[in-house]
Amino acid sequence: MIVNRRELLKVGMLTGATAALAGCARTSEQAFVSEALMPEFYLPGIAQWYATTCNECSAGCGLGIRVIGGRAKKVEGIPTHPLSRGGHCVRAESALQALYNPDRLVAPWQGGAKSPDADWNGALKALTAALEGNGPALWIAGTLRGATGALITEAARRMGARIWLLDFPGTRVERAAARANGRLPWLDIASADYVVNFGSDFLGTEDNSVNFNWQYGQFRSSPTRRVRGILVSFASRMNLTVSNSDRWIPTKPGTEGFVAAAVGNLLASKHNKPGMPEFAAGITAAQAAKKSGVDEKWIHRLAEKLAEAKNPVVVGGYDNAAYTNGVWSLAVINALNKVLGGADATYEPDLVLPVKGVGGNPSSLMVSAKQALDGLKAGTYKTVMVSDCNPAYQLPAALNVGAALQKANTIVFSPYINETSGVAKWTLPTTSFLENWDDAALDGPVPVYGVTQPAAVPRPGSMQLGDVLLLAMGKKPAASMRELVCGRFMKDPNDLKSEDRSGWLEILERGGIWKDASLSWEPYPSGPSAPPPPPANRVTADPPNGVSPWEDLLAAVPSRPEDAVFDGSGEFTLLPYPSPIWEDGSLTNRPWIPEIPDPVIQVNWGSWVEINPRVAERLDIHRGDLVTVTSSAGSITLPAVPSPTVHPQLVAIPMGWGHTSFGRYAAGKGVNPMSVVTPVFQDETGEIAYAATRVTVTKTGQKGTLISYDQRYTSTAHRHLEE
Amino acid sequence: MRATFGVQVLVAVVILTLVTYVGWIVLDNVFYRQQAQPIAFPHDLHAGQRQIACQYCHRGVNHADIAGVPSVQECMDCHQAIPKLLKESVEVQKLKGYWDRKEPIKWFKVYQLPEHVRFSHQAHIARGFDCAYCHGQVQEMKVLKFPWTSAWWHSPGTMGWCLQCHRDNKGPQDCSACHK
Repeated sequence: MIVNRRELLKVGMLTGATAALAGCARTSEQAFVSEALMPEFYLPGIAQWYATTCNECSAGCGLGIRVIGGRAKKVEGIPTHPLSRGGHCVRAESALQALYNPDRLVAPWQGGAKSPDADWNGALKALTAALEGNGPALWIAGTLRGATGALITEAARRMGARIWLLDFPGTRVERAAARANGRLPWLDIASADYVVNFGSDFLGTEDNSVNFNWQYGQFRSSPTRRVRGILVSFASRMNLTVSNSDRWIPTKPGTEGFVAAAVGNLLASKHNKPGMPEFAAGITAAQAAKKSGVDEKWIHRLAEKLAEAKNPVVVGGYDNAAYTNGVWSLAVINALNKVLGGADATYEPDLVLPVKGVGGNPSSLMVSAKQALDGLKAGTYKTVMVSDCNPAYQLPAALNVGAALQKANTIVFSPYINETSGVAKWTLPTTSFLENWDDAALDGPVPVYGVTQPAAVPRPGSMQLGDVLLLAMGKKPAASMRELVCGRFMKDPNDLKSEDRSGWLEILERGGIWKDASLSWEPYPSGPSAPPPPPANRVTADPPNGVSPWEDLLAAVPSRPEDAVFDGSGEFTLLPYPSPIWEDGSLTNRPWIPEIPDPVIQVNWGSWVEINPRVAERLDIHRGDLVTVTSSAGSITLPAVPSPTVHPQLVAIPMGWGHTSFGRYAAGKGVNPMSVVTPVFQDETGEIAYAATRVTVTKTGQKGTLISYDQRYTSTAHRHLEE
Repeated sequence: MRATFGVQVLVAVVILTLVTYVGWIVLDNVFYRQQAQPIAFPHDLHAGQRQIACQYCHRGVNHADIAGVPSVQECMDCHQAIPKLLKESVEVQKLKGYWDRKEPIKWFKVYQLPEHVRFSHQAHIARGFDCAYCHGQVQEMKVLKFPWTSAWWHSPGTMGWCLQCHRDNKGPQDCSACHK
């Protein structure tokens, strides 16, 4: 077609005129809405703040949720909260993305898939039938605390189920080693002057990390003591806490207990500080040095420093608990703490709070991982309930938990579809804690009784786990979680109906009840920037008597030193570790989370394997090379990161990636190290020893995708260094 | 005969002006200004005859950037006490319909500022300005209208008008005071 100049001009002008007309017209939103119902105190554009208790881990930090127009917009800490003291972590910050996640379920799923026939009536009918009890049953719970914990306990009791608390990896081991009715040692790092870390990541992954971060700040720069505390770490991997140490002495995997035992024995023999138990006896500095690969002089120096220190504290954690000798190692570390005069206090963040006699003590119902998995494998459990966890993903693939759950009548409570709901008979959509009523008590030097109140209206089609259980149990002992929680905080429930509800409102404003006088550390600095003091103690009710699910956990600490045992004959020990950001993978479906680089390795958006640079050089492995990690359970291929943060005998892979069914944001990212972890159980606790797998690492010859915030290793600067 | 270059430019300017006028005024009024409200709310009756203060319904003016509109519940707080209107007034029956259905009312926004403008009711009310200064004599309007003046380019809500007022009253005049 030939277009002449006149036609071209006509078309051009017409186009220009149309564009100009469209551009001149207003396109902005010209509607606004009268809500049908609006809270009395609500003003458009003005934020409301709701105080609540975080449920992202068992610490129970106080959170203030900023809400505008009925939408939760921002998570902040509550400055007056005695535990978190105004702080909060990245997990709490990303809670909004659990609330508004586009992959949230809006209706029950049946048979592992979306079904037009599945609705809440059918789901509740199935749940009610299951609660009536049809043979042996198992309840796999990710958390068990507060009022919801009491209702889970009651439901489990009614259906004759055992409870498997599939908590953070290593929790059961740490509690068994503590040997104080399962209570954890309360570490007073704030007033310590010398801290020895044997593999804990108390600044990152361990429970209560927000409080520990505050304590760490005090420890390093206490304004009153004017003494900078010293932190020394003996560990096989540099985690976030180890990276903050003044000195890191790398140890062979699973040998930290020997160093602690030798130090304890030196304190007794040379520094007049006896008290190490029998199970640590006889280990000399030379033996410990041989076992751990640590120079003997460091062991002697550590004993001297600890003897000189006024307030020394010794810490153990997941990197000890993950080995088969975890109970022994942690028991030795705890004993060393006792010898040094620290860790007298204990605390319990996971208290189940029975409601009007309902629930009771769950500790008699608890089973270990081994007992539960044996039962699942044998098909003993006819009904399996799963709440707040994802066993088909987070356990070693070799256990084939998914297939076992598929055989049973499995009911999953989850806000999203995940690997476990894919094999369940029913998946019931539950809510985020930002939509829930609940309570949580922490018993310890800083007793806190926190209230969880909703900051947002529950998403249509989903229901709080507690409310679901109350409905299934005939609305007893309360019609709803709101009624249950409100009633519990009041001495007289009728007070809620009275005009003067100031006591209850004050609790809601503060986020719970605590006795300010119980604070063992320094108060806030005074001055104009200091937050206002907490309101006067107009507490309406005393916290209920909580019970610990771990009370009956009496682990027998080995009578003699125990070496870590490994499965396989590979050159390296594999340490799959939970991240301080995405934990064990339960948070990788929140879009902010994959964006945040690992604080030590600085890689994000996927998996990697950390390998010592000297070993990598020997194997001709460079940064970003795809390597295959193989064990007797299987193999995975992922990019390598040669890093001085791991011992030459260790390779480390973060947990949490490689989901096959966990929404759009977790899809297609990384690999799951559980594919190569062989299921080895600890004798004392029946817990899975996550770091008991020997692996080989082989180069594939291909380059992988490694997205890193820190490009130093691949930048020109690095090339200059090489030259 | 070929038009001179000056004539061509003149024609182009006239066309551009016409296009702009049609786009800015005509289309804007046709598509965005003339929509009927879901309920014919008479401001002259409420604010005029009944002398209900603006803040009684628009509670945000003293406290927030946004004045806000009352909830259906708040409208019904008063109207449920006037059974005669509930029976006889078609508009009040519409309101009751929304309340019975618990349905929000989607109003057409008359006073609309562009999205790149930041405006705070609270700040202006705190300086002592009367609502009518910008919104016109609302208490006399049966149907709420934007207070256009004959010089439309200098009516309330236009940048020239805002800026003149800021000059006259020594308000902030830097760009970022009003523009996002």
